[in-house]
Amino acid sequence: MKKFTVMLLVLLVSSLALSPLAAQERADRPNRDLTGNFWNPTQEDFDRWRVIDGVEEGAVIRFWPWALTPDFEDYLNQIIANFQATYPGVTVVLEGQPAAGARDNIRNSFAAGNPADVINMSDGWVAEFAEAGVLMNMDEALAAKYPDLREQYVDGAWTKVTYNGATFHIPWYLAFSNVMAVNGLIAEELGITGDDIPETWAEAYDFACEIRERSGGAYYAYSLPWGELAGLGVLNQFVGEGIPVFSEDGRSVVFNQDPAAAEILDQYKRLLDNDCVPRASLTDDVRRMIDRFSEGEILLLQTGPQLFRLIQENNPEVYDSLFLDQQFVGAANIRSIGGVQTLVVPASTQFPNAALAFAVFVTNPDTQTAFSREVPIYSSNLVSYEDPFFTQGGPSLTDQLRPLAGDYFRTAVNTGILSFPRLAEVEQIVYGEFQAALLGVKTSQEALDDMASRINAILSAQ
Amino acid sequence: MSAVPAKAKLDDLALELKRGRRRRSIRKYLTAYGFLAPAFVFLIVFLFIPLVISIYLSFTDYKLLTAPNWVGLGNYEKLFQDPLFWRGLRNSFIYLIATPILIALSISLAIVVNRALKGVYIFRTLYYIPAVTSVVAVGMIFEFVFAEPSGLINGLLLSLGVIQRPINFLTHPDSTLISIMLVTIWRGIGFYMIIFLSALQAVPEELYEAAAIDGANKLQQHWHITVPGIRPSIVFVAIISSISALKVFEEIWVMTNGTGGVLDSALTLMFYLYRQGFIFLEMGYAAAIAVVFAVITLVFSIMNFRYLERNTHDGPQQI
Repeated sequence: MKKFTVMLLVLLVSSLALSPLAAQERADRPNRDLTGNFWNPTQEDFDRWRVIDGVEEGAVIRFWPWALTPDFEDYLNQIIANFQATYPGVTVVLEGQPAAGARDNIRNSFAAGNPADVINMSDGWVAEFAEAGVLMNMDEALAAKYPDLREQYVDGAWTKVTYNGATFHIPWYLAFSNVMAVNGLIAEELGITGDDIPETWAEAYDFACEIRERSGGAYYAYSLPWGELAGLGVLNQFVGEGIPVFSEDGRSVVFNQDPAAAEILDQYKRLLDNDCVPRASLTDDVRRMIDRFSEGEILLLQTGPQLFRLIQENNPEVYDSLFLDQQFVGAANIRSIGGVQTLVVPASTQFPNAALAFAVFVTNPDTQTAFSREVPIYSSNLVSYEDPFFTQGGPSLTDQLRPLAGDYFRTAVNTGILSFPRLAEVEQIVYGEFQAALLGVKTSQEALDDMASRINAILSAQ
Repeated sequence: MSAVPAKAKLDDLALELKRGRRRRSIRKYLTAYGFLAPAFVFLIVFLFIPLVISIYLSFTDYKLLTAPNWVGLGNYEKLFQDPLFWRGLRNSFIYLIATPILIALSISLAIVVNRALKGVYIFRTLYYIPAVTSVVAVGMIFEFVFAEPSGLINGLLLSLGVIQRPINFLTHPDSTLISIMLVTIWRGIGFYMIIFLSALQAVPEELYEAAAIDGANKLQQHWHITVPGIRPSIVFVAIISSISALKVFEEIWVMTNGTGGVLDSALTLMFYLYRQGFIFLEMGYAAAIAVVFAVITLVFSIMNFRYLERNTHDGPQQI
């Protein structure tokens, strides 16, 4: 018994001694206190956060985030607790969806007439639900009634996806897509510094072949995620080069009428035919591109810092060597808004005000800043960027980007290309015709003409 | 006087016996139906009702998120004019090439591991592992095997100087489907090998001994004894593997990242059905594809079965 008591004491003392250490080890999650809580809000905070009127008393709302549980479950539970204290009488039930199959689960829930009250969707998913008329119109529900709140959101994120000119989502967390990671090991081996890296796409085409040659075929300058079906990457590229995608009335696409569009495809084909980019770019998605970078095949990686952790997991040696540069820009010299995670509310919800209140609460400046402290994602609420967390940088790679984020999101442009009706079909058309040009089945101009005429057939059928 | 009551008694007894038999018979039938009921209910709920609903949906413009509207034969008219439908059908039939290769390799492997060799059980187990490996894991393995330029095959051949440029396994429209067929064959060999192995072990050893005495060499023994002896298994494997080949989806999804390959070169009918139904949400159109596909599979299976069954009842042949 004595022995047991001694052991218990030793255990207790060592756990007390270790707890500050454990807390100190949470440098990656700096907003946690010693007990693991994010913050301890006061009544003043709750009062400040209560911004939506007419929230239904006794409402029970279901919340479907995707790909966030279990990793961020404690964060989500904490914000739910904060919300329930802000709107007493409302209960939020967290039903996290795994990344795989999340979109199908959401579709099936709508088809079965039982969607959750607040649903997290990737920007590319929103259009089909908006088109089917099953989502709450946020321009009417929020922007019209609470213009001050609407003003807080990053404009390019608010309008990232529209249907008939209206927005059906509230932007949540964003990707910072203005950054390029450089593999320091390859750069050192080839004697390349930040000054040697081109700033524009026009220079980047030749740079790709130069690196291939300089490295004796050992490395590529970059690879491209042409196998990514979603996102209409090539149309984004056109916007970046100042090529108008839509006609002035917005009823048809006209990118094929600008010879610069065919020139871009010709350049891509040249890169592919001369082995200046990996041929597997034809089938690579972003994830595979990151793997290729982690494996030390390519010098430059254009992606958001939220994905740097994948490099760290795959190859710490490459991660430790990284330095950052700005992404290539096109002739229009614009920075387009990157990926946007959104929150939507089904039009059929029993508790529209409670659901809206929760969506607004999740995207308020404090809640989003707390999330950014957890993981290097960026807030869709511009007020967040006034927080010292964003105004001051830090030692790590991702910390250095935070002070730049506010300016970037205030000026980032929405290319508007996710607002096509029947978006999935448009994506398939763009993907197929793009490959036809790259593989030489059609000339670049023929492929663009076919691409445009097939998209216009969809637009005119609306 | 006494004969009448005796006859009545006999009649009563016969009636009672008859009733008893009927009760037993009813009870017997009830028991049988009771046992059949769960499977029958399962089939009704998960097969017949969805089948009827699919047929109905194929005549509508159902888009999952909105209510269906009747469009008559509209989906079928569109289907037969759709070049991607025909491409999918063509690729599905091309995929059938995997079936005879799979059968030949599985039989060969089964013959090899049917010998009483030391450690043969380890080999049997190893060959079976792909059959129980998830298709996602298999996809990841073959992504590495086929990767360009430094995957297993390309890296090896390049370093040995056998090739100067990597082989475009998954980035050329002519090779994508073939590469994916290799994955299917690799996955299926172990599974079908087990079926053939059990069939081989049922072929009487005396037949081989007699054939050897008669001067038959190993090849003749296999051709005239083994093959006829395991023909029922060959019929079975041919039917199930060809239906699987026609229905192939997972390998294509995983190996092409859900795109159907460059220029839709690996687009099969099942993949096209999935794309229309679950990516474009054209459920009515997808249901029409499903109905046509079900009819094709049924006709093909009946033809396949009839053709192969013709020779099934023959035993080992005379040499």
